[in-house]
Amino acid sequence: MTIRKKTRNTSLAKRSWQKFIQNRMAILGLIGLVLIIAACLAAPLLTNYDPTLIDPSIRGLSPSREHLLGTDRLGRDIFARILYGGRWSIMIGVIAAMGANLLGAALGCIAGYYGGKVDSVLVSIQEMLSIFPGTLINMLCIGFMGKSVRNLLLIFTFTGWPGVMRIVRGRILSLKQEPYVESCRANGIGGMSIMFHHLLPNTLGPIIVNSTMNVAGYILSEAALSYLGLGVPDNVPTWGNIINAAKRLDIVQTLPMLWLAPAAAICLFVLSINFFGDGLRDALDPSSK
Amino acid sequence: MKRLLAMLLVLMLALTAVSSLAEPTESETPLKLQWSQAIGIDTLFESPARDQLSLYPYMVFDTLMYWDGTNSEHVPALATEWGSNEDYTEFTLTIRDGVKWHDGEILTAEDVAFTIEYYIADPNSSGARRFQYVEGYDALKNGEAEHLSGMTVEGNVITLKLAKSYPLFLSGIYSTMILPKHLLGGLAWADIDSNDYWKKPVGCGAYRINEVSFPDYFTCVRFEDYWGEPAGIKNVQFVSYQTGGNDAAVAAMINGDIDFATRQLITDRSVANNMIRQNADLKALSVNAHNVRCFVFNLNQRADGNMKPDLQKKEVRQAFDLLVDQKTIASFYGGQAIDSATLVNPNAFEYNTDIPYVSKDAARAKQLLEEAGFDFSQTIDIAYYYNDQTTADIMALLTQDFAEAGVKVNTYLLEGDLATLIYTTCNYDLLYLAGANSDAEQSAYYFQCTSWGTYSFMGQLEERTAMFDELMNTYNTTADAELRKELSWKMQALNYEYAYMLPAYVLNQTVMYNTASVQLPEAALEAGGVNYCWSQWKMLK
Amino acid sequence: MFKYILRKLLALIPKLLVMSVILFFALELLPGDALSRTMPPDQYQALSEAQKVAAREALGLNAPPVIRYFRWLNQIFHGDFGYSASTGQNIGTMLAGRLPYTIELSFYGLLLATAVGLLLGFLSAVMKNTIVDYFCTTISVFGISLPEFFFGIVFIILFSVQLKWLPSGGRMPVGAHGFFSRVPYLVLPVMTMAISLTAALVRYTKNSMMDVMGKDYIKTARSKGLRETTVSFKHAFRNSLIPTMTLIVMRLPRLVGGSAVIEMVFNYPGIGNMALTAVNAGDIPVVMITTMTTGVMVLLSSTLVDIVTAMLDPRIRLG
Repeated sequence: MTIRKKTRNTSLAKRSWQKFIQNRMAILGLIGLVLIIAACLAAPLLTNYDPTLIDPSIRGLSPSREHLLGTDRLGRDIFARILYGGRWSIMIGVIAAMGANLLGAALGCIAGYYGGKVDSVLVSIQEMLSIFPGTLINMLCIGFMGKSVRNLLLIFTFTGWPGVMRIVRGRILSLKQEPYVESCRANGIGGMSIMFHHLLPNTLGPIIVNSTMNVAGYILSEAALSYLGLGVPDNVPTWGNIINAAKRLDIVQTLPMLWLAPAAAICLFVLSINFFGDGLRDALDPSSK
Repeated sequence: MKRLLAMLLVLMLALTAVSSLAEPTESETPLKLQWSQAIGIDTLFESPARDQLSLYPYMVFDTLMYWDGTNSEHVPALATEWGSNEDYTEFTLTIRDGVKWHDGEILTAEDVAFTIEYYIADPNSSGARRFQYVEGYDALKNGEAEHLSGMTVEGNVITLKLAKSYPLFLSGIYSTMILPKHLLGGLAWADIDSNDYWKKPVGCGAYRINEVSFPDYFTCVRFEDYWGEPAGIKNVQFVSYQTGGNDAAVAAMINGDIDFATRQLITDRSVANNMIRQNADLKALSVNAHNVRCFVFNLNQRADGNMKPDLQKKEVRQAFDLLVDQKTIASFYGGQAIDSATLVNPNAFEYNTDIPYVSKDAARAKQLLEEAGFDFSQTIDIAYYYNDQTTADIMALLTQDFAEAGVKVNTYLLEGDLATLIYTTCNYDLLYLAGANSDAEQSAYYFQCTSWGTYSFMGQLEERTAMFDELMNTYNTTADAELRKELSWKMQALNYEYAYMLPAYVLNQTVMYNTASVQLPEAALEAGGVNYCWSQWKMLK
Repeated sequence: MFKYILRKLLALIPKLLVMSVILFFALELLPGDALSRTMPPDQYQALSEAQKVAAREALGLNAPPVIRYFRWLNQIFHGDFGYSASTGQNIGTMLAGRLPYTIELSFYGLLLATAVGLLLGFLSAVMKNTIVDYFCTTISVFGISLPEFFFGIVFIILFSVQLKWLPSGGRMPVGAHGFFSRVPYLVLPVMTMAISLTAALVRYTKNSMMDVMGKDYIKTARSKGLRETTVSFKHAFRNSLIPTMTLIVMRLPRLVGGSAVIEMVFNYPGIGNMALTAVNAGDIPVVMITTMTTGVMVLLSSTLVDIVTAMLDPRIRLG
């Protein structure tokens, strides 16, 4: 692993950016991301329908000019639900990813910097958590804590930190040997300050890459948990919950838009974020050519 | 790499070859059934005292009497005669002679007495309450007594003494499935359910269990020494489909791999319609049922103290009644649910036809609420405990309809320790509740809602006592159908006026079968009850 | 070496104990217990206090938590996994009937995913930045972009209802237990399971292939004038397999507990299905055992990985 020094950050950022924009797929991913997020945020401009408005007289309509993607079993406009649902799904993905990565980074710093007992305890917890099947833990926690967006975010944060913790810890371990850390210490700068001001910024690259991938992962986990009836409450229209309303065989067959649309939304978003993340990693990782 | 590819190819070829060979060929075509179960049954069959879902107990065991839904009367089964004294405090049952268990032993009145005690004393039994008025019930249930003091056996006659007059006693107990004392007697009551007997239970029903391969399937064969008319189909296969595995079962039924599906498979008529669209041989039967769903007000207590005084006003509750859009809610079940103006099935004899149907009218509701001085800034909590999509849809509709009248609503799912949440914590203003009437007690739901546990759903305790208790007690202690109807009409009218419970719909049941492979007594099945008339079933192939 | 293995195996014991303590007391903290959670609410409410005490006694719930924990542990050591709170079934027998089938399903899922994943990863590395690369990447990302259940239902509609090639669910036909009669029942769930696993493998294989292809010995091989296909197959692919194999072994435990969705869609009675039903029914004894079983599998697999790596690389066991 190559060590990056703080002083080289500006030129490195420029180089990384150049490398990034040369990657066609990454740019495509970025455009996709921006478009989807913008569409979700600008939902009121793109559709006049209220995503929660039930209208029994227009249930299960096929796509038409009025209803671009048709209506669902309760007569709600699917296009509006996808746009507004995206807000929830992306928000859940982003907040959970941020939570997990912040926690992981902090713990990674502590473990890497202090070493010794603290390190070995944190590492064994990390090992246990990261090898345990995520679905099972999520299922257990939601099953017994109850369905709510807050609980879901807490659980994703709690179970999601090991990956990033391992990465950060590794980096810190090697950075710790650098002369500038020694000099900081010699100058009487406290451990906390060294960790969070001098060491952590040097691990930002991998953290960012990991976060983008996690956003996609959490959106998918939310959808899977919703299928098991253990996701967010039913009145929160996430993409997962919209697909979830179509999980019965007869609905899959008779109302294809009800699953095609959210599936396409999830698919596009996750594809975009994956290409974007791949490009980001290539750009930020000095060892790749 | 080449080797890997080759292996893959061979594997795929093998798979397709095997799948085309998989058709079973049997000389005596079995009836293929879907075995719905609440939870994984991996080692033991569930005792009929707790299994309320699957079809197997109706094949393997037999009941005291059958219910003839077409003529609305009991017909003899294991009990040949029954009767009671003048004031309905003592009932007698005469048990049929010469009935054989599948192991060849003879069934006696002792078996019946044992079964009744087991139903009461088993801590997990869901069938205990039907015996609650028998003398000595509490002592046996609490483990203070060995036997049921109100029950005596003389020869083949069983006498049951009740602590109070209860004319409908037999309607409650007629479907009790009788278990063999010679195989289960002598065990502690709580140990019976986990006894090895349940690996392959022995009953006296029309079928005996043949091969058991849990958790995948089991098979039954006709019991040749059955006391009644022998079953029409010789072999029966039960393939297990668990909760949530419904899509696999629906697909299997479309493909003709299941001949008959119980009500557990079809929760919604649109599922059935979609199946018929793809396989025209399938036919859906509507089974008359008395499952009531309603919204009840919490007027008594909330653990968080957040009581809504406005709900104590009759006018406010009436306005809420105007906001429950029963027609639309019922339509969510694709034709399986009937909207009803009261908590009685509209097809039932006791249904009060005088009560006007309350259609949704948000403007009128809003006006009523304003007149009553309703505080529009408060949020009404509506709790529910069903985790299915239709319930979620109903809650979404409710939120919208209440908002139309300016009422803010928070719907939430109760999870975890339901008994405490529903009866003790009660942090809700309205509860989406389900209950059941029966053919004999068509208005039983009103009664249940005042007697469950320590909590009463029908208004505040004092009000309820003053209004309903007298009617309810008389309803329960008379056998006169006309009088009962009159009392029930009064209860329905009172609830309509005071709007303690807002009716939502009555849910019927749907069963399906494959007309190309099996012929069955449609009328008997549609009438409901527990008489499957196995002798009239025939395989067509 | 023997010492190292012994040390690793001994280290399992405290890990397992810690896990069991956390699990037991976490479930203990929740409101309600096995009785109030599994009984229908109106039925539970209708019980008198004496009846509740008697029913709790039957389930062994009356003693203080610490005592119950040690009682539970002791039972497990004697091979008695207890009984389900909701159905009264013997949990040990339930496990015995389900675990092998879950492992079987997962094993084939992993096998198929490995084959497809290696192939696509190899192609995308060899033909980097061509249409083939983009196609493979898109296909693999598509696999993780959609929830598993979705593929499951689509497969049922396609292969079972429309084409009528394969059964829609279950594990075996009535009366036939042999492997070959089970195969048709495995195809759809295995395919579904493989889809989501393939994606990670494609990415991993591609990355490690590219790593290896940048190494000096590959350059040497090329400079010797070997054909590009020989270089890719004989040298790069083979060497990139080692890290990929680690990933596959690391995936083993996830497969054991991670297939609840697939088992549910295809009505496949396995351990994931069992855990899910138990969670939904509030069946705490079953939840504890299924989670512990998965935990044991997880720890065993990771220990296995450690031991195998140590065998290959002597530095680790000394360090």
